[in-house]
Amino acid sequence: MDRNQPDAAEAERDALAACIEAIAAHQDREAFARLFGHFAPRLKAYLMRTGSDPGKAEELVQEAMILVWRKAATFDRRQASAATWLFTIARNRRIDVIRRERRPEVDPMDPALVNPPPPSAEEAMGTGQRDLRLRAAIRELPVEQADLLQQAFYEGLSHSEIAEVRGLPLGTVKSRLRLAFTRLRKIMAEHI
Amino acid sequence: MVQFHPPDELLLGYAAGSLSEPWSVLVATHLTLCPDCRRATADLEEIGGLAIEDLAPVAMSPTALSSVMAAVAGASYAEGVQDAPPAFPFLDLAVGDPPLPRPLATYLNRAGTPHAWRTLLPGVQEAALPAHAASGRPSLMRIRPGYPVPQHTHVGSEAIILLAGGFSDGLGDYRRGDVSFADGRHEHRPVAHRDAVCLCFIVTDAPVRFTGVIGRLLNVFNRS
Repeated sequence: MDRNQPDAAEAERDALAACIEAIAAHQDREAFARLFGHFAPRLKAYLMRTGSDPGKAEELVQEAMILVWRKAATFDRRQASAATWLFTIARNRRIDVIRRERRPEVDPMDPALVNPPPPSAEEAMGTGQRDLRLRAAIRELPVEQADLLQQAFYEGLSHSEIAEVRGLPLGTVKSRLRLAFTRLRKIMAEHI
Repeated sequence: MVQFHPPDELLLGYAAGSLSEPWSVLVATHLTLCPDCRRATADLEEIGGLAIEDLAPVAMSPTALSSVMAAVAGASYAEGVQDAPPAFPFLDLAVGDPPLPRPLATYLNRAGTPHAWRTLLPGVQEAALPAHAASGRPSLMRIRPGYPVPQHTHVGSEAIILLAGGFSDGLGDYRRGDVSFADGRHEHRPVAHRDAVCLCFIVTDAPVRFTGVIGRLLNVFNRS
């Protein structure tokens, strides 16, 4: 996305979210095709970066997109952008298939779930813009912090794996990521 | 409210998908009990969304869309209702104890029968869980009211999440949902609160090494 055109980026983001909602509302095949055209090649790139060969990545993306169709009703644009929601589905599929582990998730119906205090009107209003603000904040991080943060997400590497790949001491990786994280949290807190 | 949270690196690893299953179970259990960390983790997942959007696309095969369309044709998109996990007689939870958070209950259910409770010291019992993951040794620990856990240092990382009861370790007072994390720098000596049995889920990356006289004896046994 072009950072100089926030309005265009926002319109695109809304259009993609609307596609998922259309699938949920009336199994809209055209909306699904559009979503597929935009995200499938990107999810494939992500899965290849995390170590899958092109054939396996292709297979995982197809499985992930089937889940997108089935789970469309669980999407909530106030909680996450379309890109983030698809990322979590592809990430979970990778964990299930490649690592042969389950991804334990918080269950919204869990009787043990502790709910947050009700948000103020101001907070509730801000939710939809949250991901845009966060994105802007990430792009403003110092290069060496943003770099490691992205490696963690693009390549799904743990801290010690990043340290190994980059030839950095583990302590350096941890402290840079901690700085990035603290900074993002601070920015998000200011924007509530 | 929960007071002690997992370190950022665990939330980040959970969001990025790089944690092994036992570590993820610990984080998801905490997230069930901590709305603040749920929100922080959702924010971190946005970084994943950003990654997806920034990556240079790699073309899918020309038939990919039609294959997926064929697979979903006529399929219902409704989510299956998840069965409630069974109770765990093994855990011996008292009536009125708060329920086990589902990520942990589901994991215990799936992991298979835990090894028998093993007495580490008077008042302190541990049950190792079958470990299938490449990293992270999961176990349950219960401590009778008022009993101390032996002083130990850590080789590698150790995280403890409190499920019932509470303990104090000199750094703080831990209750349900709180996470105590040590990565080799700390020595601590938790003592269970006097009012209830303390139940915890623990993940370690390396065997715990006990210090002190009794600890040295235990280390001898642990090696055997």
